[in-house]
Amino acid sequence: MPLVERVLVLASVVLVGVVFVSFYRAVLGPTPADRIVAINVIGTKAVVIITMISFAYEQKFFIDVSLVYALIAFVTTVGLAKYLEQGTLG
Amino acid sequence: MFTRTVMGWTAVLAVFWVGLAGAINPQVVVIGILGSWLVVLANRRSLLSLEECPGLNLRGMLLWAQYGLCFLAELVKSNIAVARLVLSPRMEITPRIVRLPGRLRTELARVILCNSITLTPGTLTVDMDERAFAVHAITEQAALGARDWIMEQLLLRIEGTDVSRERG
Amino acid sequence: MRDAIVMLLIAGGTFFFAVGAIGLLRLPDVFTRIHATTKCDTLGAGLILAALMIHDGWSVPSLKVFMVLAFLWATNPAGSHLLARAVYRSGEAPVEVMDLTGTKGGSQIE
Repeated sequence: MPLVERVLVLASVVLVGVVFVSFYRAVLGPTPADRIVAINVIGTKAVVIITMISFAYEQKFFIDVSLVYALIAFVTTVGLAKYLEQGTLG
Repeated sequence: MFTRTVMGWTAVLAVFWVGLAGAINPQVVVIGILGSWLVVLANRRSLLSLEECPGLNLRGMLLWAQYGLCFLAELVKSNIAVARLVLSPRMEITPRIVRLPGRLRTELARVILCNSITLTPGTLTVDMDERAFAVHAITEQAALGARDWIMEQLLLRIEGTDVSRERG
Repeated sequence: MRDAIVMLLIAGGTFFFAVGAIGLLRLPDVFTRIHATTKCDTLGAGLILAALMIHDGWSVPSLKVFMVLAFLWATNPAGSHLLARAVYRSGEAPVEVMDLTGTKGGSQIE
C-alpha cells in the first residue's frame, strides 16, 4: 500500500478515536442540546471517514454514500433543532 | 411552471445529477431533467430568483471574490484562535450575547453574513431578523469587534448601499 | 511533492477535528461548545477533502468530493445556527445580553 493510502488509514483510525471522545458528550451531555451538538459533530466526522476509506481502498463509489450521509445528517440536525425550539415537529 | 427561475434551478439540479451519475448518456440526461423539474416544482415557494441576488455584474463579482478570500483567511484565524483557547490550561472566556444592528437590505446578503459571523473568530449568530442580529461572543473583545466589521462593509458595497450615508 | 502537501493537509485536518472534540469536552456551556465544534469541523473537513481532491487530480471522484465539501460548508454553519437559535429562544442557557443596536423598536429579537 502506497504511503498516502497508509496515512489515510492512520488518519481514519485517529478520527474514530475522536468520535469516541465525542460520544462522551452524546451520552452524558447535561442538556439535550449538548447531545445534538455531539451527534452533529459525529455525523461530520463519519462523512470524512467514509470518504477517506473510499480513497484508501480504491472503492470510489463509497463517496456517494458519504454524500447521502451528509444530507441525512443535516436533515436530522434541522429536525432535532426544530423539535427543541417548538416542542413539536408540525 | 416554466418561469425563468424554475428553468434555471432545473438546469442547476440536472447538472448536479449528471455529475453524480458520472456518465453522460440519453437515459441519464432525460431522467435527470424530468426529476429535477419535479423537485423544483415541489419547492417553488422557496426558490431564490436572480433578482434577489446582489452584485451580479463585473464589479460585484470582483467584490464577491474578495469576500471569499477574506472569509477563508478569517476561517483559518478563527480555528487557530479556538485551538489556542481550547488547549490553554486556563480557558479565559467571558461569554455574552450582543445585539447588533442589521444594515443589509437583501435577504441573501443577510444569510451569508450570518453564516460568515458563525465561522469567524469568537462569534456565533444565534438569532436574526430584518433589523438586528443577536450574536454570541466568547470574549468582550470579539463582541466589540463584530460591530463594525470588514465583511459587513464588503457586503454593503456589493449591495451598492452608500455606507457613509447609512451611518450618518 | 504533491504527496507531501496531501499528507500535510490531512494532518492539519485531523488536528483541527481533535481540537474540536477537546473543545466539546472542555468548554463550559452549549453556546461555547457550538463555537468550537462548528469552526473546527468546517475547516477540518475542508482540509481533508481538499487533500483528497489534490491526491486524485481532475476526475469524477474529485468532483463528487467537491460536492460533499460544498454541501458540508453550506450546511454546517446553518445547522449550528439553527441549534443555537433553538437554545436561545427556549431560554435554557441564560447569558448576559449587551445591546449595541443603538436604535429602538422594529426588531423581533429580544
